[in-house]
Amino acid sequence: MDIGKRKRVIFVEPLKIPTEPESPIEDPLEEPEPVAPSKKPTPA
Amino acid sequence: MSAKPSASSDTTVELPAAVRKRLQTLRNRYGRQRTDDAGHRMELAVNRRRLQLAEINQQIADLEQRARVIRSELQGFGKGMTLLAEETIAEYERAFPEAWSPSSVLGYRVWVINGNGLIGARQVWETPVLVAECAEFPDVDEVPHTDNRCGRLGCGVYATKELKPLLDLHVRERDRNYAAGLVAMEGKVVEHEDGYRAARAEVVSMALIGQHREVYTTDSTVIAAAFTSPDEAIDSQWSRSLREPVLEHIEAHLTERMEERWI
Repeated sequence: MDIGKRKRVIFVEPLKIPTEPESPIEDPLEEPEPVAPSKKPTPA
Repeated sequence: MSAKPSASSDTTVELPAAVRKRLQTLRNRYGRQRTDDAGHRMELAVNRRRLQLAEINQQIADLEQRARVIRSELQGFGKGMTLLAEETIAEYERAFPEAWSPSSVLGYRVWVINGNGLIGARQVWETPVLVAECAEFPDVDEVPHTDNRCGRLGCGVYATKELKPLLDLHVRERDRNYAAGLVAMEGKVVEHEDGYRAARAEVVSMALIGQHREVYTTDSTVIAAAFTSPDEAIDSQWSRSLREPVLEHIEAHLTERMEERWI
């Protein structure tokens, strides 16, 4: 079938929805070690 | 117009002042000597060299001036070429409109069932997906071509905008053993007045018409099975007895999904 004269060009690029997170999940931060209370000199 | 030569300090060849003064005194006192003539000839030779050097300096200045003019002209050419290229691009864009779409372009196709395969206008479709190849220029990008290199009709997977004219042209109410389908086209899709030429087309809805049974489906599994073996698909659980008028049922089924929704 003759489809007639050319009119225009359409560039079809379907949108792709990402299914995975782009950045890897970071490891949980290590818990900081408990800090010992400072030993201040007791006033006399 | 000659350029002004840059001043050069290497042309000065003079006797030390004390020597020159003493020589002048002796000349005045006793007249010229034989060796004095040789000195005079040397002065003439120095003057000739000075003139030659001055001429060369003038030529250098002229060449430098000419180089400056040519550099300026080149800059002008660069700007002119950019403007001309931009104008040419605008002319292309006016003459050949382009569009972008995130959703597939839909069109219609028919196939004939022959030898347990679905045959399109030019070739057997072994799967519901057909990727265009240019028979004339298979190694050239930009398929389907739009520069008329591959003839008046051009390459690409063809589909029509309207279903009825396509059915009117290829099938009659009493015809059997054919399929009609809706194809989703992607990639470069060339729109014509009555149809399209696409880089890639996939059948998304179809009607398979057997001798006594029919399959109407939008299920990708069933569509794939129909292309693998249309005869088996017609005899499968997905088929039912043929309903008439056939062409009306085909139109109702295929035109149901005219446009995909935007995501």
